[in-house]
Amino acid sequence: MTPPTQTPSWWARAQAEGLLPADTQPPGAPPMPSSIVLVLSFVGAQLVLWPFLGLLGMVLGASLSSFSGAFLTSVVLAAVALWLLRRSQGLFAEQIGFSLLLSAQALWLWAFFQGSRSDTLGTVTASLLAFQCALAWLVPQAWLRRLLGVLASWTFLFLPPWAAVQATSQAPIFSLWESWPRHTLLLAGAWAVWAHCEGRWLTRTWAARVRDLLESAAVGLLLALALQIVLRHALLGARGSADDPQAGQALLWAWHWRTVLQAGAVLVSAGWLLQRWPRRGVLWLVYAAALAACLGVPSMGVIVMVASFAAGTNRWRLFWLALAVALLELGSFYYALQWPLPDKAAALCIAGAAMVPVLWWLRGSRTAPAQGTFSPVRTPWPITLVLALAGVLALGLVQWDVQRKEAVLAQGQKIYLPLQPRDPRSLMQGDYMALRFAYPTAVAEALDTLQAQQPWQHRVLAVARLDGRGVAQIERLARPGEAPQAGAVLLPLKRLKGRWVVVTDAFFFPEGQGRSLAAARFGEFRVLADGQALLAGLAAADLTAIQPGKLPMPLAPEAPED
Amino acid sequence: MPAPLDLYALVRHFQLSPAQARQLATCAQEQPPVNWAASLWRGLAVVAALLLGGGLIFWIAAQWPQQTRSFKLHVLQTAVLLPLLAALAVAQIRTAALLLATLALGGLLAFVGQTYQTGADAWQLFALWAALALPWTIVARSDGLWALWLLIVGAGLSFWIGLGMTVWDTLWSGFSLMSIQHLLLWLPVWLVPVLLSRLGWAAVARPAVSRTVGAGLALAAWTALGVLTLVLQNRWGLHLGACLAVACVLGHAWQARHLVVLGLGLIAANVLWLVALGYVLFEHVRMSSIEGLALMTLLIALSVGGSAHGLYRLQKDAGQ
Repeated sequence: MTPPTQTPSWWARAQAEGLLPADTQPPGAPPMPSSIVLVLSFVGAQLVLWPFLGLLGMVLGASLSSFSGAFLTSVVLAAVALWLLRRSQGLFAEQIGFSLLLSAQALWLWAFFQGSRSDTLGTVTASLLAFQCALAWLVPQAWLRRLLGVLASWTFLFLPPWAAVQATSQAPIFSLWESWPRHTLLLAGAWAVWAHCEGRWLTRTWAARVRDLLESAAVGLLLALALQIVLRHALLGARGSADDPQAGQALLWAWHWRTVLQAGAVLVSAGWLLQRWPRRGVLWLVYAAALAACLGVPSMGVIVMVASFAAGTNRWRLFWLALAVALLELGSFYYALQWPLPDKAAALCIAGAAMVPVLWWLRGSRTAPAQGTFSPVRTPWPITLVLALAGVLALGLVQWDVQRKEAVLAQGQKIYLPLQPRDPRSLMQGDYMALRFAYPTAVAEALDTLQAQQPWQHRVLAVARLDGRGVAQIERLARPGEAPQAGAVLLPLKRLKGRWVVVTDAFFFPEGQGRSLAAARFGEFRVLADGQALLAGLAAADLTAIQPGKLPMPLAPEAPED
Repeated sequence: MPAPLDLYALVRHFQLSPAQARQLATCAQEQPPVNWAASLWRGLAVVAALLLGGGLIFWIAAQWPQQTRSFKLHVLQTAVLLPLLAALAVAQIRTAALLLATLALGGLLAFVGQTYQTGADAWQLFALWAALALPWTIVARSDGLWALWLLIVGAGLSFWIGLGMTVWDTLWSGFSLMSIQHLLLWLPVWLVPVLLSRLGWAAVARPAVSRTVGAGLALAAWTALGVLTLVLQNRWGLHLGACLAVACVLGHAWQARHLVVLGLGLIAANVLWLVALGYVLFEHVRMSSIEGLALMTLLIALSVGGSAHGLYRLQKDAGQ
């Protein structure tokens, strides 16, 4: 069954102009496999392909390590994939064909890096680009052509920087950073010209294939920009236009020819869209902001160009992708900006506040009336009651728990316990140091016996003797109802993950601030007479408190607020 | 967002001339959306609000280390309280507000757990989080909120049975405590969203997301337990138990024609039986590498290809 297609808003106008027959509906699109079918067939194809390639590698052996062997295998794989794709009607076979095409491209690159060939990186990637374009032209499936278009766009974007790497012997990622914006602008410009002129070529036989290639190249371009941000942060740290330690903030305000190019792209895009759409002040505001953003965001012109031409030709998916990448670029710039954090936050507030009067002034741009008036709906009383009780329970429970703990910190006796640290990581509680405590053999045996006789027992009290410095040594398990004598305290032992620990088996600290804790030799506890205890911090061998990062540690009772 | 119509296909279908095709492109591509200026204005107003609100939050975050414990606690308590009050006051935003309250509650519990070194395990945090958020999840009758609640429960269960540990820890500890109870624990995660539409006044009309999330979590856990207990411990009983559980999910999804769950179930079933097959071939039969790989490739192609093909046919029959 062919799914019905939603009638677009322009359909009636095309009928009124006599372009489309009256009383017709858009023809049904061929059914697309659901995402779960795509995932299943993709995973399946990978599970088939990799054992197959492993088998092929074993059979071909050493011949793959020569240029001719790898090159021929690449061509054969591509030919098999094209044969499979041209004959097959099944999705699974298409997925295998696509995976074979990927392997053929990987082998193509592999071939050039074998032996003593002296090809430049530019030649290699240019040949790969030609190979990808040829494959994209020959495959009959549109979705495959689009994916190959994305790959070809990435090859195109990486090609000149790689050539520059060989020419200048610069570090690859630095070279990418230096030359990327130029090439993205070239690709964005080519796509924009296509989007503007597409209507003239709708009847040409080759146009649909070019459309698939160029549309996916635009997607590849935006994804490459997002990838560039990730690479920049992963490989170079927070290197950006405004945070280069040598340039300080100078680049933020300095004019560079690349900034001029990006600003030019914004102006061209603005001119094109303002000519196509009715002129409104609100659009001027957007372009003015984009122009200002060119001073700090290196690819803003490219993104604005794609977003403008996508919006102006009703390519809304591409528009939203461009907007997401713009947000990522702006976020990256904000992250990289070397200002004090409160200043950066204040700048955000100022930007938001500055928009308010401008938007108020431009409120006339809103031609559409407000869609209905907002009238709150009354919540039924049982729901109100449950919500209120649940809220009181959640917040009250936390408050009660915190007050108990604060009481232990405020009134508890300070003691130290020798520990043995390790250093694993916890999923959502930041970093932590795993703690282990030593017991006398008699206590360990008593705990084993207790565990064997009462496996449900997870908490017992132990008597610990204090020396003159406040360092505790566990002596024995406490008798029921026993009170600590002078020079001794009651410590709670808990069974966690199969081990008996004092209070806790881990000391949590904020992410990335744990280096100083390697010197920890003691756990610093606060203990009440009834055996309630909390780990308040860690201490070095001389019992001085160790502070993770710059936090005020150990935990100390807070002064009452005024 | 519906897929745009293919203009090339339209031009071919209605056999338009180049001039008509160009005119059609003008119609389809050059008309600005209705009320675009109003939409853009509203979008910019949202951006301004986000800049102001985000700036305020970032400003507090920037000063966070210097603040006292009680200030931090009160900020996080307020972050729970405000959405709860909004949910009470305005029914239209109840679901979104309760979603915020649930997330903020997790942050509050994590803060208390990290600030006071109590020895609470990660699963206890998730269990408490799930328990406290359950009442408002029930009364909200929202599919998305149930999905979030199931994710919290799933995380708690994973930590409790040890699936939440790192791969290294998993291999090191060897899953010594795994039993049939650990498989049964995940049954409610699958069944609760299945029964959501029959909960009387608290029923959710179309719990599609939570049903997928619940089934996905249970299937992932059963698959992981089945594979790990077989490969690390050679325990066929638990592996077969996991297969049985996955088969139950598949059977129910087939009956309900729930294609997403059916697809997830097929992935799980394929992983379980193919891992078992590979385990037999390479561990017990001791087949040589080339023969084993060739046989595995063939069987994977048949099994996974057949599953994908069958699912696609079912999808086409269902018209989805």
